[in-house]
Amino acid sequence: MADQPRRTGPQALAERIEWAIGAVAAALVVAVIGFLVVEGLARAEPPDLRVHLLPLAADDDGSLRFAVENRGGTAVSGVVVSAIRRDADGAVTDKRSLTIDHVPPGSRVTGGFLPSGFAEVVVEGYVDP
Amino acid sequence: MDPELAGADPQDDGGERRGTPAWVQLAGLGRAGGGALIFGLPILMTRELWWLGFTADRLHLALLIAVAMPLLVLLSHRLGFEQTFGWRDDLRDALIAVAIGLATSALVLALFGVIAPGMPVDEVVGKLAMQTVPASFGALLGRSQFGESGADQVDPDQGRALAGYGGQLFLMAVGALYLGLSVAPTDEMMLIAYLMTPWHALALVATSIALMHGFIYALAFGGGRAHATGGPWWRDFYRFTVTGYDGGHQDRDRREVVGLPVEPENDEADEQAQRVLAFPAAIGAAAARLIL
Repeated sequence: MADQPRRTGPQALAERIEWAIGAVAAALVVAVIGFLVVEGLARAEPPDLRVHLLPLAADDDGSLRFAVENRGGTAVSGVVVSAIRRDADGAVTDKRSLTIDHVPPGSRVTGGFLPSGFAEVVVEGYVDP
Repeated sequence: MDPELAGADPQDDGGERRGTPAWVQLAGLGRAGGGALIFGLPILMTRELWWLGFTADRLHLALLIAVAMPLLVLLSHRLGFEQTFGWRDDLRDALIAVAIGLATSALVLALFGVIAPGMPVDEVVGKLAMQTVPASFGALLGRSQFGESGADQVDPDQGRALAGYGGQLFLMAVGALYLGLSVAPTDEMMLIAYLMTPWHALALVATSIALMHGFIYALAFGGGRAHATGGPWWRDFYRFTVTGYDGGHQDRDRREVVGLPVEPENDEADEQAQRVLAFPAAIGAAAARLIL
């Protein structure tokens, strides 16, 4: 390979600036890949879905608001959430369901059932993405 | 970056400030950001790619970026941010391209509300990692394709590194990877496969190959070329078009490597999906030979 031309003056300054930018870029890329590798090696926990009702806001229309959280380490898809009504014996007498596309690990998805007298919400199931 | 190489003439009517090293660097990074935006936007606005950011295996995402690095280094050697003088410069430019790809993806996804404060770091990093590779290709190409006139004339000696048959196939693979990755994760791949009969698939394969050959040799696009070997037409057809199509076809296997969705339980539909995916990959391979 031929000798590389040596840069001087403004060219040398430009070279230093570019190497500085390159160093920042290298740190960023290594950090991202490193983070993904660490997460990939550590992440084996199954999904852990929890659902709870959200308090009614003053200006709410009476919808049954809920939040689904995934406290596990794996994302889930097609999460079926149902609002249910029970009789005095605890048996489910009426049900209305909706499906959430995805719940990533560590995140929370909120939603609501329009006013219809339901007072309880459950997660019925999910599929692996 | 050398001001002259970067196309900024200190005597130009842009004034002295535009000729300063810092300004030239900034302008080069701006063009790279523009390239990242143009190449990345189609997939930045595709929800399947957002979902893959948290459903794809983390190690596969790391592998996706790691596998792209050698491609970016080679591409940088051919036509990166500047006329580079050695592989160290190419590695640096490839790293800058990935960083710009990450930064551009972060900006756009934040503007769209796809990433937001309070979201798990794991999810944010995954979404960015998924988008980074095409945007990084755009960053490298943006610098070379959008530079000021005379800024990016590639030194013939430098271009020689990838001028051979292997270099041409490499450029085709980059094009196939880019366009294939842009559409591979979408639901429409499988939907189109379900809609197609075997006759449709056969016609699609023939059309893909014919378009590829036409792009490069027959339709006289800018950057196209006469038959390179000087031999009969079928020799180039075999050496470049058929081989390039096969390379584009293998793009689907790379898709599996990085954990993108496939339907292994349905072999017939899966085969059809490969034909579908080979179509954009073949066009990408042909376009890469024209553009690069």
